[in-house]
Amino acid sequence: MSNNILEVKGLCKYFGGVKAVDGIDLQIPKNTIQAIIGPNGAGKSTTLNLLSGTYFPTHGSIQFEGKDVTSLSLHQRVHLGVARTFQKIRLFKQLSVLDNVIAGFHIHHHIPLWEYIIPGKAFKKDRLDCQQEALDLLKFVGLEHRAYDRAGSLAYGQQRLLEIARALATRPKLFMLDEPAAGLNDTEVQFLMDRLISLKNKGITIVVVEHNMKLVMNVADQIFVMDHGEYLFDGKPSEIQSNPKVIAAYLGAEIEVAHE
Amino acid sequence: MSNQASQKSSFPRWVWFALVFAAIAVIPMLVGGSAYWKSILISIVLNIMLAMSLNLILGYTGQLHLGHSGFFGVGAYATTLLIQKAGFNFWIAMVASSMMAGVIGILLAFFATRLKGHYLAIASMAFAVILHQILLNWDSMTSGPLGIYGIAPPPAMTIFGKLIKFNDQVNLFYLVSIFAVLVYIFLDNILRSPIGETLRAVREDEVSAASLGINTKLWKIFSFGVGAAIAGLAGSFYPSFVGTLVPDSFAVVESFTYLAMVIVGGMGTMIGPVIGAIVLTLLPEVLRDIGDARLLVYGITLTLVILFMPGGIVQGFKSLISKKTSTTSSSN
Repeated sequence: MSNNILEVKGLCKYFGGVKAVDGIDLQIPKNTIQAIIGPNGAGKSTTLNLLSGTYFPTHGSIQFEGKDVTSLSLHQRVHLGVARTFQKIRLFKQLSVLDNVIAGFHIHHHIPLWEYIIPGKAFKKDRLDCQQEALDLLKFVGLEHRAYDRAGSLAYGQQRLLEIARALATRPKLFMLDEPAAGLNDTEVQFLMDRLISLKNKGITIVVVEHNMKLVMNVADQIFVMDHGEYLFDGKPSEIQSNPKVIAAYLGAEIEVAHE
Repeated sequence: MSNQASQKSSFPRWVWFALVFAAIAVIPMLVGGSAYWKSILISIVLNIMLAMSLNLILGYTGQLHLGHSGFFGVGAYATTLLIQKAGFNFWIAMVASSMMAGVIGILLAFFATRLKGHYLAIASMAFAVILHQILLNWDSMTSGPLGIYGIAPPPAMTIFGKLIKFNDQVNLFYLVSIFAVLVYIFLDNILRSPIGETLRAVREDEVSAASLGINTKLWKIFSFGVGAAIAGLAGSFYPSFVGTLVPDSFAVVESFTYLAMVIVGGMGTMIGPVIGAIVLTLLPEVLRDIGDARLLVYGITLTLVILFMPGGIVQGFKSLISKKTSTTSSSN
């Protein structure tokens, strides 16, 4: 088996006549942070939706740890160790912060069937373990003090972090984040960068679709640039910054804005 | 709404159950010899079972299901027909017809849960209408609109050497109450388990739920299956206390009564549907003396509850209590 956790060949997604993603090849090595960047409408989020199984591709194949997962849907890929967050935050807003994370343990319960009806030792142990592990995850994203508040009452940046904690509860090997820094302030972006690197150090492979160049350039090991649904360039952050094609398509405008 | 901290507060659960059993034992004595009120007590308990089971589908899984009367009807007719035409014992017929209602619930969910919101509501309502029409028109089986008469109560049982007959409505009330308590404990336990978390996740956001590995279709089917089986169980006791069975008892309108019970009591809480069923079964009876004006009062009460307690009576009381405690303790 190769060292790649994810191998994508000829990935296409057409919406009617629109070619949102058109022939992407992508290899993601284990235990790295891969960023996907590109101008608005380049097909980054669609690519992430295809990789996670939220959409099915029109053509192409996706292999996860050497296994073909092209036809597996979102919830099936979670069982293999793929987790994701959403560009538009999708929390269980009416539930408590803690209950949001606990819901993420769905695939990890070990309770014999009868204990669902007559709770016993295994049931109680599961409840306590879930609670403790969820609190640990909340601590990891700095939200343990809000554990019993309603998720909908959190500030925007905190909601993004909660979504990350909830997805981590599935214990992923491959974690995909769709614009995690969108709407965060500088301190929060700094914290997020720190958390992503810490996850990588724990052995989790990360794919991040992001517009925030500070985050991308600082945490990514490898950057994949898309434009008009197609591959444009890929390489290390330093190579990306000096590539004329990338600058023309995307970075040029961005750098000017962020110059200050 | 459902955080674990609030569930642990107040009395331990066994205290509550002791109080409930005491109440069940005492209540029939309060109504004295009135056969009419005894029969109302039984219908309250059946309505509690129906509201609780609808709440599983509607309040916990978030599926706008408007055909619950259909499952109730399956339970009632299947039990009676299995006894009369196939010679089944009541208890076996009860189990079989609950399972039948459950299977029909699973089949309905298999097709209907592709739909969401209003479309699911229409599809599930259509199911109840179709079932009502089958009961009306399958003359050879159901006797159509004439109905089935002279249905016997469950057979007598000997407990601790005492013969207990269920043509005595007080005994029948105790019997259905025991089943209602069992249903409550069953639902309460599974909703405190990871299954409860899973169903609530499906209710809140299906895409998010799928991103946590939840097979949303499967769990919606589960919810419909269990909810339908409980409604079927309630249905199997219905003919034995009314004595007659006519299709109109399972008209689609009845589904809206159960819906009102869940909403007025408090959707997505365990105790809400119980309170809703008690209030909305008693209200028309208490108001019977004022004639047709009772419909007006009933309607106004419903409107007021929904206007001023959008989360139902349970939520209304909860916010009232939390307001009081926050003004007295001034902390937080």
